[in-house]
Parts: sequence; C-alpha cells; structure tokens
Amino acid sequence: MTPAETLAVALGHVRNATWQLLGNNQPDGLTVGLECLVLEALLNPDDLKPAVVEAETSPAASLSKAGRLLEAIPEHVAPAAWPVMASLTQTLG
Amino acid sequence: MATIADLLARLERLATTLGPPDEANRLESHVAGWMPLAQQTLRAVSNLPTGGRPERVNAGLLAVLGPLARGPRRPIEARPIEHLSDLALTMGAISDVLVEHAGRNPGPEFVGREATKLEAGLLSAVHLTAGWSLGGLERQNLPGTRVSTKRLLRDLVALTEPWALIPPVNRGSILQDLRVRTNTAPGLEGAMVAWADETLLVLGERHRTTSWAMQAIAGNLALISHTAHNAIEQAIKNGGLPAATRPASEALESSVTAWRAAATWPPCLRLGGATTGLQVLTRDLQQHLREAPPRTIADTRNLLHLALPVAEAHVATMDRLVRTHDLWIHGPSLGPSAGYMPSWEREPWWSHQGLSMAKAAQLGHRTLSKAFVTLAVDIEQTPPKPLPLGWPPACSPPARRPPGERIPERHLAIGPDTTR
Repeated sequence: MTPAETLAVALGHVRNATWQLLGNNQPDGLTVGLECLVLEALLNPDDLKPAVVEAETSPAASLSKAGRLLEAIPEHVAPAAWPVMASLTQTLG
Repeated sequence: MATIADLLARLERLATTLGPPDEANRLESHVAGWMPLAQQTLRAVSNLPTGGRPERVNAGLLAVLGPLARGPRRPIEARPIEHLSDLALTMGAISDVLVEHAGRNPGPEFVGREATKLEAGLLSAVHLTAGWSLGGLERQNLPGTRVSTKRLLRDLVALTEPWALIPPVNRGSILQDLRVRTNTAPGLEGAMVAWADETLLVLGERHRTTSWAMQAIAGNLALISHTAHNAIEQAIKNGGLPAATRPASEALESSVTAWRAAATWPPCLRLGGATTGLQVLTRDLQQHLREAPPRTIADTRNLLHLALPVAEAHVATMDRLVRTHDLWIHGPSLGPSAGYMPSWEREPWWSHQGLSMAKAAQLGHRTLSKAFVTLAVDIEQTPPKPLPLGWPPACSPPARRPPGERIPERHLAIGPDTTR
C-alpha cells in the first residue's frame, strides 16, 4: 500500500470509531465521538477520500487499528493528531 | 458581555441618583442633553418587538420625543448636562442590542408582553429624568418664547408616568438577557458567537458545506443541548428554578438524542471539502463547553438563543443535500442491485441514505426550540397574587319572599334609599 492508501484506510477506521461512538447511546459517547471527529479532521487536511473498511468489534479496536497504520507513515500524519490519538486511546482503554 | 439587564440597572441607577434639580443648569444644557437621550430612547423603543407598527404604537412618544431629539433650529453651543449624557450613552447601548436583535427576526416568545415589560423599564427611567429636568427648569424664569422645552418635558412626564408606576419586580423581561453579540467576549460566550457566525457562513455557502461540517455542527448542537440540560437540572436541584421548567429539561434531553443521531453519519456516506476555520472554532467551543459551562440560567438561555439559528440552518442545508442527492456514497455499500460502482459516487436518485439524519435534525431543531420557549416563558412565571381581602364579594342568591312582602323600591345597595 502507498502511504496515501494507508492513510485512507486509517481514516476509514477513525470514521468507523466515530460512527460507533456517536451511535452507541452511552453518555460519554458524544464527547469521545466528537473528539474522534476532531482526529479525523486533523488526519485529513487535504480532503483525501477515506477507505470504507469493515468495522471492528469496538471503537477502541478501530482506533487501535488506525493507530498502527498511522505509525507506519508518521511523515504523513499531522503532529497535532498524535496527542488527540493518545488521549482517545487512553479514554477508551 | 453586558446584558440589557446590566445596562438597565445602570440606567435606573443613573436616573435615581440625579439629585435635587439644579438651577445652575441652564435651559441650553438641558436641551443639549435631551437631544441624544431622546434620540436613543426613540431608537430603543422603535426596535422593541411590541407586535404592532412602531409608528402607530409609539405615536404619543414620537410626538413628544421627536421635537426633543431634533432640538432647536439654531445650533446649541452649551455643553450638555453630564447626567443626561451618561443616560443617553447607556440608552444608546441598549438600543444597539435591540437593533441587532430586531434584525434577526425575533421569535414569537419575544414579541408583545416581554417587549412591553422592557419598555416599562426604559420609560420609567425617562420619566424620572424628565421630572428632574422639569424641576430644574421650573425654578428658572424663562422668557415666554422659550418654554416649548418645558411643555415637551411636561408632556413627557405625563406620558411616561404609567410606566413609572409599575414596580421593578413586575418588569422582568426575557429581553433583558440579550447582549451585545461579539466574538471577542471572554469565555464560552465569545467562543459560541464565533462558532455560530462561522457555522452560518459555512451552511450558507454550498461549496463550503462538507459532511465533516454537518457532523461537527450536529454534534456541537447535541453537546450544547447536553450542557444546557445539565445547567437546568442543577438549577432545579438548587432551587433556583421552579419545577415548572422541567419540560424544558426534558425537551433538551430529546434534543441531545436527536442531534446525536443527526451527527451519526454512516462511514459509507460523505461530502468532501475543506473546513479548516470551522475545525478550530469547533474545538474551541467544545473545550469551553466542557471547562466553563454556563453558570446562570440567563447564560443558558443565551447559549440556546445563539444555537437556534444554527440549528435552523443545519436543517435547511441537510434537507437540500438529501433532496438534491448531493451526498456521495460508497458504491459497494448499496449492494449488488446498484450495478458496478467501485468507489465513491454521487448518491443515485433512488437512494436516500441521508434521510434519517435529516429527519433527526428536524426533530432536534423542534425540541431545541421548544426547550428555549419553555425556559423563556416558565422562568418568568410568578405565582398569581392573591386578590385584596373581601374581593370578590361573597355572592348569595336572593332570598325568595312571598309576593306580598316584595319590596318594590330599588335595592339599597344599588342607589340612594328613596325614603332618605
């Protein structure tokens, strides 16, 4: 996969996590889901078309998968995205 | 930022601390002071949403304040009285807020009664000031040709007296929550104004509307509803709000659910584009909502007041996107019946994937609006005052007497006794 394709797949996982969090009816799902939306914006400043990937079992698993992909292409990731990703990973355990 | 309530308190403070009428203030100083005060009073009153045509409703005020505002034909060289200048400045600030509010097509909850209550506050201060000026001028021996200002002030005192008879406790209006709308205000208010202004621009421009923006706006509206709900629940718990405001809290709870549903876009649906400015303001607003939620009910109402136009614009834009099939869908998610669509394509005419989000946004707007109106109306409700002792008079049916005992005269209670 090219770095752009990897980023598109990572974006797909982040979008899945957002969808799962906002739709889970948990009280904290709203704030964490909005944080995921912020992460999506930080990862995609050039309006890249995201990949549509199969959803993982939980938002944490989706973000974990996205994190692993992003670690492979650090030069394509905005530095501001890392603290948001770390905060989300910590919140979701 | 200062609300109308703060400015009105300043206006009343200035009007009640004018001191005894001072003969040292000459007629010209009074006239020079009354010109801006009358101008700003007319501007404020004309922009109150009283419900009728301002030129007809305020005909009496126009007839008296108009000549005072215009002043004499020849220019005045005297300096205006400082008290009157301060009052004009404060009245000007109030009228600025009212003009800004009038331009935004105020909702029905602001029209009529609430406007009249605020008018009472403004005109009672004008009444006191006119009486003070008149008192000072009465002590001066003015030539017969220069008494028109006195006549106008006398008219103004008579015209505004009914307003001054209303006790301040009966003049509390929800319009007093209005404030100067500026994104430079500190804290949540400034962040909310900046976000709302940018959001309205994004939603109004076809090429700046993206799926990210639609999701983030709906999500923020859910977060705003959630924050307002918590503030109201806390106020009810602390006894600061009557339990009658519970429907507002329930409506906000529904608003959170609806806006959250409107923000939950499936990953197979999108609308591309860049919204960098909105991203920064969105993060800023979310941070303020988390760290500095509204502390008073007035702040909560202001938050909802700013959010409502955004909600309305979101509903209109979402409706357009769905109706005109502007959204992009990931082809394979439509299934094999859709034919060969390998990647992102514009949504075909027979697909309406965004419809559920559009419906959720409509519900969110309705419930948010209901919460605002309920909160605006119920908070002003005071328990009805008991009627004076002995009123209404006890009413007993007339006793039936035999025909021979009937008294043909008028009843004593109706008029003078005929035997008197």
